Amino acid sequence: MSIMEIQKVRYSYDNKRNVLNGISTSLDEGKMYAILGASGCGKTTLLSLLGGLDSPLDGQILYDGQDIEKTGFASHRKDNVAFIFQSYNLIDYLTPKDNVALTAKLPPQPILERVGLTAEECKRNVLKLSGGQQQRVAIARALASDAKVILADEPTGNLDEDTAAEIISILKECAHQMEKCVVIVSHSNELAKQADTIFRLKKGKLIQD
Amino acid sequence: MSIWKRAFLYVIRKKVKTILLFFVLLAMSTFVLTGLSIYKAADDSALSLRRSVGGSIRLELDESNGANWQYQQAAGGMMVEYVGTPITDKDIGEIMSVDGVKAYNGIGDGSVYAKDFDFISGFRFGMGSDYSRLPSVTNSEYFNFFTRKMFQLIDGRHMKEDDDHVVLISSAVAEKNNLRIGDTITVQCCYDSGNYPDVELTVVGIYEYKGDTDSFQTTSTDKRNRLIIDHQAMQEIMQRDEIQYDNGVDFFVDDPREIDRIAGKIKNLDLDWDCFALTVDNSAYEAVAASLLSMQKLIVWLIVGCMVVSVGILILILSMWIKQRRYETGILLSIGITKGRIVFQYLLEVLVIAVVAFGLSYYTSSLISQGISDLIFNQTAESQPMPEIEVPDDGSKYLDITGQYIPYDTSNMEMVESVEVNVSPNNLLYIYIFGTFLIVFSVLASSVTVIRMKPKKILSQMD
Repeated sequence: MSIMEIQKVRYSYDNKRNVLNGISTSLDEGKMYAILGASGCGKTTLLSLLGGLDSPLDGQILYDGQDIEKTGFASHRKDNVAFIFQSYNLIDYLTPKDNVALTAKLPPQPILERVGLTAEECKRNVLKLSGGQQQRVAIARALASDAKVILADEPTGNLDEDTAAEIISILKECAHQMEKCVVIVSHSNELAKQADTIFRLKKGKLIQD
Repeated sequence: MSIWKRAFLYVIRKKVKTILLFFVLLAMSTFVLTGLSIYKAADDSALSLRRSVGGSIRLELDESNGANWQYQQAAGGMMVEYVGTPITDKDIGEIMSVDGVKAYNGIGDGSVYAKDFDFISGFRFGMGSDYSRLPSVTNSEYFNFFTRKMFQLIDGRHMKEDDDHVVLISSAVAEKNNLRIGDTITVQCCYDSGNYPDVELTVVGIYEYKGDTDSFQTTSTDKRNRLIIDHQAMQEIMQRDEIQYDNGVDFFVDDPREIDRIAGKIKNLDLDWDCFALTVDNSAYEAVAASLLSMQKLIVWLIVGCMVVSVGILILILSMWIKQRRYETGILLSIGITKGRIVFQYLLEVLVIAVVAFGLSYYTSSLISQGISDLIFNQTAESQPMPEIEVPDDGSKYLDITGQYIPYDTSNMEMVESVEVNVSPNNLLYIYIFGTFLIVFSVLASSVTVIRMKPKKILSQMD
């Protein structure tokens, strides 16, 4: 079932060259999507538009049939989407549990345990966790928000191969078992192969493989 | 997680920043609280000084209006007679009803021979008998020789409104005639026209003249010969039907700082202003309060300077810290926390620290305020010359009944040597109120650059 729709979205940094040139598509719950493309092609910009961090010059982004600009970007970010970043983006003065509690609509501890953190690790300073553990905390934070859409920007970019595989596995689980719509932006073709649908962003156009 | 918990956790877990900010806020609040306390103490001292030095407004017959005066040919030459409206007790009553007027002293004028005692002899023209001018007053405590410290009561008491046939004499006259409190003296009006009775007066007070006695004086102008009497005695001596306030009436105010406002109100009363003139005198207060006023001005500048510097430092520190926290701002924005709530969290963090710092400043300020006050007071007092009260241009209100200027004996004036500073909870309350405003301003000013950025831009700068 379609949860988000992109309708004729255009975006430009300088109003001369369009990085997104009237793209349209829809995203379903329970699926994992990968968006591939060269550096600077507009992948992260597209993710930002989906997440309500920025607004398109033309076109609309719909969530559950509603224009997110009209319902409000802040409430869209709070209730509908959750971000996972390459650099984890955890708040350094909070413990993993506190970081998850930032968005928590669900109890943090079971979610942290589900993504593979022990009770002892949950109380540590986040900066004392490994990269993989920090990314698990970020995923737990996304899950705890109970958002239907998870937007992941290069989630395995800073991780070794084994840890990256584990993280992808968790994200797949989020899509297929928890019925989330997971959108991953990546350079990695290997990661993209794990997705249900692959999009390639090229010259401002979104092309489905 | 609530915004309060986030703010609290930040304060607890970022210890170095918390301690640094705590000391900045403590220093800021200590200096401002000290400034406020010193200002308040100086203000209290000034109020007490104003009340003790006082100020007066004189209502007198308008000498500048020629229509009120008539020249008549008399045996000894030309005589000037006042033909305008006299000052009456009704006029006095109206002025006394003005808010802020606390007392009055009417002054009458006469000249007498000493019948059973001697004046201090001065230069005499021809072979005439010794006589002296004498003022009648309502309340001798407010008689301008006493208020200007030229006379000082050394024995007995002051004359009050209900006294009848009493007199205050100088210590020189008392000594020369071996007079004491309770003794009587007899005087007679020295005017040529009419028959004037001998009038007996009881000595109720002896004053000391603090001014110059060496200069050239006639018996009449020698201030040691002033016999200060009541109006009833004057009526009998001069054989008048009514009390006359020939030399005007001085009205005394509670607070000399209000003197111009009170004078304005008096001026609006329905009195015969064609015949009366009103003059204001708060020169004594202005002279003695100069160092206090300088101190207060300096303190105001110090407080303002302190606040500006504090806000500057606070904005600088917070700007740096909030800039460092763009990362966190981006994360919070990405999870849907609004900019307003993010800034509110930053504000709460500073306020949590400020509540403790401001509270502690009560004690630190108590420790240093007296020392700083003494330092500032000594600096300002050293730069102030000894009070000197200048002869006014019109001079009217400072003239003796003989037309001589009454100097002000500044050596006897009560001076403020220092102010006692107490840090009061009220001042602390101001610190909390103004401190909160300053912190709100500083946090908003510091956040503005980050908050104006789009969430995407903040996040893109993080990687």
